[in-house]
Amino acid sequence: MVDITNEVGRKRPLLEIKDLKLDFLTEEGTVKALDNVNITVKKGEIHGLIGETGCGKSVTSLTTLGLLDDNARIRGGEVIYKGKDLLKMDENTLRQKVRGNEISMIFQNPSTSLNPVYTAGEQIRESVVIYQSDDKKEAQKLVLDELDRVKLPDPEDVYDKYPHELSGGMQQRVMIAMMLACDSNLLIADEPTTALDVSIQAQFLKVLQELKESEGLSILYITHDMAVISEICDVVTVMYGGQIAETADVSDLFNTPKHPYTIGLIHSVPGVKESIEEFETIPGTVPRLINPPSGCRFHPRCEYAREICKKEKPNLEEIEKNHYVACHFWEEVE
Amino acid sequence: MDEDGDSYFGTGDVDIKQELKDLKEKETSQMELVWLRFKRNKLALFGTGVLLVLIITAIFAPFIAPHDPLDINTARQREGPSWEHPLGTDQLGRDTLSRLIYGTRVALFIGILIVAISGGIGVTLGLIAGTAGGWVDEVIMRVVDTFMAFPVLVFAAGMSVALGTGLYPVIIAVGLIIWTRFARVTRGDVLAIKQEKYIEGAKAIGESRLSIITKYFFPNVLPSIVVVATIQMPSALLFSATLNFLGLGAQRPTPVWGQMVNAGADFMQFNPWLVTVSGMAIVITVLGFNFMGDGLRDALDPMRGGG
Amino acid sequence: MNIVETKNLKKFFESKKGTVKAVNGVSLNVIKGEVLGIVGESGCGKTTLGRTILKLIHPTSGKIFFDGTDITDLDGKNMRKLRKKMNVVFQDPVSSLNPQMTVYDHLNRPLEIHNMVDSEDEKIRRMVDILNTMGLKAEHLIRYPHELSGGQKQRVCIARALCLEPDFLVLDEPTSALDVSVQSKILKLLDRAKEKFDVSYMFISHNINLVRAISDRLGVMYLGKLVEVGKTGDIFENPKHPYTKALFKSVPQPDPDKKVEAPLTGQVPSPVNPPEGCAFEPRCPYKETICERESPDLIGSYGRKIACHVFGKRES
Repeated sequence: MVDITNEVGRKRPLLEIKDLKLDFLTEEGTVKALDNVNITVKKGEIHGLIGETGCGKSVTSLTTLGLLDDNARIRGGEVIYKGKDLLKMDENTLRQKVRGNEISMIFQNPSTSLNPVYTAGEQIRESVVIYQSDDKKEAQKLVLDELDRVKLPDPEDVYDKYPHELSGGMQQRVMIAMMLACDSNLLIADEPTTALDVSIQAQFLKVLQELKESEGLSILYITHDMAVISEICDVVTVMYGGQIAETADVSDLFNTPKHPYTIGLIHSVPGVKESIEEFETIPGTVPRLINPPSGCRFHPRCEYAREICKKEKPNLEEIEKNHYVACHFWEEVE
Repeated sequence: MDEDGDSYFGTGDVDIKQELKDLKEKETSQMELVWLRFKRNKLALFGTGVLLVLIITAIFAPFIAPHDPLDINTARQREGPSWEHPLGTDQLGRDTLSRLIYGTRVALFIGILIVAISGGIGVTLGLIAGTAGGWVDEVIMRVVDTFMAFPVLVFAAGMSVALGTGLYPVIIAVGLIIWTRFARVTRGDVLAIKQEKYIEGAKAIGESRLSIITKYFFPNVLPSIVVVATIQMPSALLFSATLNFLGLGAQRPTPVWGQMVNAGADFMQFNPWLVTVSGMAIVITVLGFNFMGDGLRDALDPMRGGG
Repeated sequence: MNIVETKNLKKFFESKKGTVKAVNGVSLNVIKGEVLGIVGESGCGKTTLGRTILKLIHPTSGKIFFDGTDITDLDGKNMRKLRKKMNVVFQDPVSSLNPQMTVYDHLNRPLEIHNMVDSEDEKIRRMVDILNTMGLKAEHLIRYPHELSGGQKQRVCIARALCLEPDFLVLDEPTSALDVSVQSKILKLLDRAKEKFDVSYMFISHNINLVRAISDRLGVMYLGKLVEVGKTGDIFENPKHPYTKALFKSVPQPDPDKKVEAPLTGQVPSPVNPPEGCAFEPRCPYKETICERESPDLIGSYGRKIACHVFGKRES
């Protein structure tokens, strides 16, 4: 399989998901959720992960942190972080060293991540005390600094507020502050702004952008929103039906996409086309993963598909610098 | 699931007749799915089995029972099992097995009637309370609370005494207590369903209020009601059995399990058969209904949640 | 000619915290055959507006006109007759369908209630026709909602709304719960249906790019009031109200070269006990003293109206 590693002079890889295969066992059958997923997040980069229902983007992130349900079965692959395979790590180490410490995660609904009976400040301080320093006073100061860094208007006030007293946007920023306070190296964000208003989302994205510049944050940013992806991501991976379709720098992805699904997806987004008549659609529907299509899972809906697409799954090939496509006929695609 | 038909690009004259023919062939049934789920639950199947056995026994009692249940034989009182009387006899020498068998008729009759009456009252009031809201809801709920505050047996006993002896007073008495469960569950469901958009959607297409209650609320409340009913049946049986044990309700010589337990208790130390088997009959029936009710509830729930 | 018109429409709710002024004096009109988009963020009242116009909830004050007739105080029976002409599609397709009714049942009810067909044959024919318009097949008639995908469910909802051949349809976030690729299909279907059935739409959404693509005219709402109304193209080219300007700048575009700004600080205040003056005043960079005291009226000309003391003067 393709080894997306560094060349001389490029950013070092921080998280490498290699050839990940995952199934879910359910009453109705085996859901083949992930089929050879390869994603590399480099230090200092915001890596977007985009796809529609069932593409496996959330599952990938949960696998990384060992947060899957009991009915999940990893069939192959590795998740390398700082030289260690997270999939082989035991639960204790994962909990103490990795989650919340090295790798933070935030979800769509921040109110479910925050403990309702502690104030925002207390929660972050506790994490700091566990992972960083023992001194509560020092930790408190650190927390206030971070709350300020995420541009919360009145850090001392927010410190003393309970989660339900904060708006969704503020809650998400508290989560970012927590990540900064714990000095996490990697943030996995799963649809962090989907539930937020446009103007709140804009504030949040701006905070992320500024932090990216000042701190060099590394983020795996999962979303279904193409506009948000183009807003803050450096690199984008497109997933479909549990497979990787395309990975590219964000401008390459939008200007010269090469996978038929990526192109279809981009042309379905309002904002790309001006009026309804110009909207394009992809025929068919997203496949169910219990009996997924063979070979390239997109082939039933693809206008370029031929026999080989049904038989053989296309490998992820580097077609130009930093641009990878999994398609037998990418050269023909326009 | 099917692929979406992308036939919006010029549908024109699709052969409707052909489509309808295909339609008939593809009937899927919600009931089938529920049955599949239900089948997997072994306890529930056991419970249903018990119920079926009871029904068959009740219907075919005259053919199954070896003796006339009312046949007194003072020569053979309080006996243990024998060839003639497989489960022994009671204090009047009547065959226990036959009395047990005929007892199913009374048990089922009582159970069904009680549940039907209390269900009818409870569901109606629950629907009204939930859909109307406001002071109507308040009033009805306070009535429910009042009834629920009564100690059941005391109330039922009191009612039975007031209404006289016999089967019907017990049925009415227990029914008056149990209806509250139905009312509460129905109202709870109605309040949850009220939030669903399809209720507002029904209003939007012009459905009348009565129509909305019967076509939209009621069918969605039905699964819960069925479950409550199957769970209340054993409750009803237990209550009436207890009342019968206390001497109220159906009078001798009608074979009623509760009374048989009463009678058997008298000579328990001498011969425990009567009290044991009649007690067991009650227990098995109650368990059977409970398991079936649980199974029904589990089978219905995931289906309602979506495919 | 207007199919729908409201005059100073208000809808208040009483809650423990106070009066929630969800819709606080909205005067708008929907022209026959057009798509009027309504955008705004949470708390702006757009959903309540849609439901109030359809009289699914009773207005607190103000007037609603449908095809010239005042329907504000219309009684239950007459209102039900009117339901044939106006309908709604909601955001959540799962909640919008009765789990105990098949697709056939869902399409059947409106036809039966309003006595729209004479024979069973004609009824089925009609249903299949509508389903086909929505890209579904006759066999879907016997399906229960839980057997359909999200996109299919939403199509059924739209089919049901259309089978009455209404003149006016309120679409409240009809595609927000769906994948992007499904969304674009449904939008195209809606567009086609509009032509075929000659319907006017009120399209409510928080997705500004989406509304831009589908609406002829646009209304921007903030805290229960309309702050700007006009032709979609005009408004996007030249937004006049400070909130509209800021809002548009906050919308991310699917173009890596265009970045958002975050001109709006803080968040939308709660519609409980809103301030006396202009609702946007606390966050407005252009405010003047009058803005705190008085709420501005929606005024303007040539179809373009804004509610702003500072910028509104220049309109009229």
